[in-house]
Amino acid sequence: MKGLATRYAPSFALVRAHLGFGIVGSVLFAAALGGAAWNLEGHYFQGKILGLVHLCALGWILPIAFGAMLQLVPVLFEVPLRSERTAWAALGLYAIGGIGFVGHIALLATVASLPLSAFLLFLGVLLHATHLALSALANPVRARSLTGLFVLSALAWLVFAASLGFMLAIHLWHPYLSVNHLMALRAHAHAAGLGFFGLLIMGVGFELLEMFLLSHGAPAWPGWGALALVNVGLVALCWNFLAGPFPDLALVGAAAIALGVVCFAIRVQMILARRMRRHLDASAWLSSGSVLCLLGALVVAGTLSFAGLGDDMQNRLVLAYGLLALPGFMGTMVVGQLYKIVPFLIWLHRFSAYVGLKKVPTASELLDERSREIQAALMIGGLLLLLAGVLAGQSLLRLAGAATFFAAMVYSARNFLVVHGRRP
Amino acid sequence: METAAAIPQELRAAGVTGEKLLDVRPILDAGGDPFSLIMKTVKQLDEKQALHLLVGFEPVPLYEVMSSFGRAALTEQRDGLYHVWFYTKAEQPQRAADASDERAELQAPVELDVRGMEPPGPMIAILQKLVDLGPGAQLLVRHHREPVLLYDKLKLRGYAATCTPQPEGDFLVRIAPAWAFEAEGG
Repeated sequence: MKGLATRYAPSFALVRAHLGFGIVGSVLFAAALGGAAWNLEGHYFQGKILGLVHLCALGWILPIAFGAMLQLVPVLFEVPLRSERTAWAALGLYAIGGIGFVGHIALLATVASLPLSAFLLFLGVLLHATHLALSALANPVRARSLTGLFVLSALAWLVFAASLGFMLAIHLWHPYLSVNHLMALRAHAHAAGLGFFGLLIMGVGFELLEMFLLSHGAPAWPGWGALALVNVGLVALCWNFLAGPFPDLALVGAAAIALGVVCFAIRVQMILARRMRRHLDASAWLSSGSVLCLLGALVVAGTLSFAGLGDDMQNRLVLAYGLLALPGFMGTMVVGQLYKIVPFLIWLHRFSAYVGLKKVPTASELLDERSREIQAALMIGGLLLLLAGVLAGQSLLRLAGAATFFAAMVYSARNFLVVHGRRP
Repeated sequence: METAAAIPQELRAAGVTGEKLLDVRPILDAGGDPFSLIMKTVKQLDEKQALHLLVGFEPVPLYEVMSSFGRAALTEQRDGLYHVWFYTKAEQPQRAADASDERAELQAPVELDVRGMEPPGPMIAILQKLVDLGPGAQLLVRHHREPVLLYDKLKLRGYAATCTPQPEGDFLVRIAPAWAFEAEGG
């Protein structure tokens, strides 16, 4: 039997600061995407595209991932955070470094302040990752569980990706790397996207889906398969990028990752099949759409690897890959989960004290479902239009998609502000 | 407004110089809800004034609410009537029951199964059940996961909990007044 339970929840202000940063970042990203949509073509190594990618990843996705983890690590690992002060310091470094870095990279301004911004950003990420990992490791039993290993390996890949990113920033300012910088960039992108975000979503996603869909008893083996295959595949892929080329190793790595993603999709399907909550709300639709985007990204990656394509189509497919991976897989999953996390946080910190004193709404009643459905439809519709425009090389279609996506992200910010404004 | 001489020593030591008396028993007897009146009255007070609430039961959920407004609670039970003072205190408020030697009789444990509820349904069900059962309530809750976010809420209301993993994969959470665990040495 465990002893008397103790305090676990982090402060609302800490989590809100991260989520708020990310929500503002999402609107800025959508606006920047709209501004760039007409001419969104060509090779990915250009300031405009690199700037967009990093604005999306650093301005939107990562702050929200950190905020969610600060809230979820205590719940999933049944431990308090080691130090909220550390988390605040990490956010400060991250914000200053991130804003500076995105600005520099968008302009491809390879001056001394580029590696300086990158250093602050790297420090912020390292501090966050270390703090979260040490907090989680305070419960060795939970740390060894399926979710625990997903989270810890995700954090390890984050540190690896951040380290590579920092090295690349220095290289841009003062070339020194012996490895091809485009290969290093691929390793960095895959470590960050699949390694950190992919593994985090897989591990935490299983728990959140079971929690909110009231689903229990789904076999764990696909989850263990996903964990092992994605990690091994990523190691192989990154080794190929950094030390290669090793075509056979790249093939094995890609196949392992693909199989790992399929295992993840299988477990999600098992959870859905066992759910007690039959109605799928907008949050569930967005999360399902996210998995489809990930599978779509895999298909595009396979096509890029095996089909003999001309430069123009190659560039379009790379852009499509980025769209499917970033705002597609990551963005829709983030928004879908925020529709659960934000109302719950507001309810917990503002309304829970009144239970027993007066009638209080449930968390889901803090925002009407119609508002979520409208936002989800705009987001998915906008992404589909963008994707079509990129693949077809059609500027007007890209612009229409970007405009719809921008409307979606403004509307999502509006929805979260509505929830935030609710008072007992 | 009662004079300073009638104000308990602990409040005077905290700097309270006056109090506003609010007897909510007539409202409750008429089936009304005095919560809005209580909150409206508190907001009209300055830092050196306390709200002196007269009520027929210990208003445990009010402690957390008042805590969020920076007001600690001092509770005394006299002849079955609860006198609760809410006053501004610089430090974290103590659980009001710590100040009272009179404790309600420990009730027999009531079972509650929250496994079919989406968050925060389990928390609502547990907290509401504790209010419905009144002082001395004990719960044995079947839960799919350890309710770590509930513990803060329980502590502010004077309760504590232990959580035991079950062979079926879920958890059994025992919730009881904090003094009950102290008496057991747990």
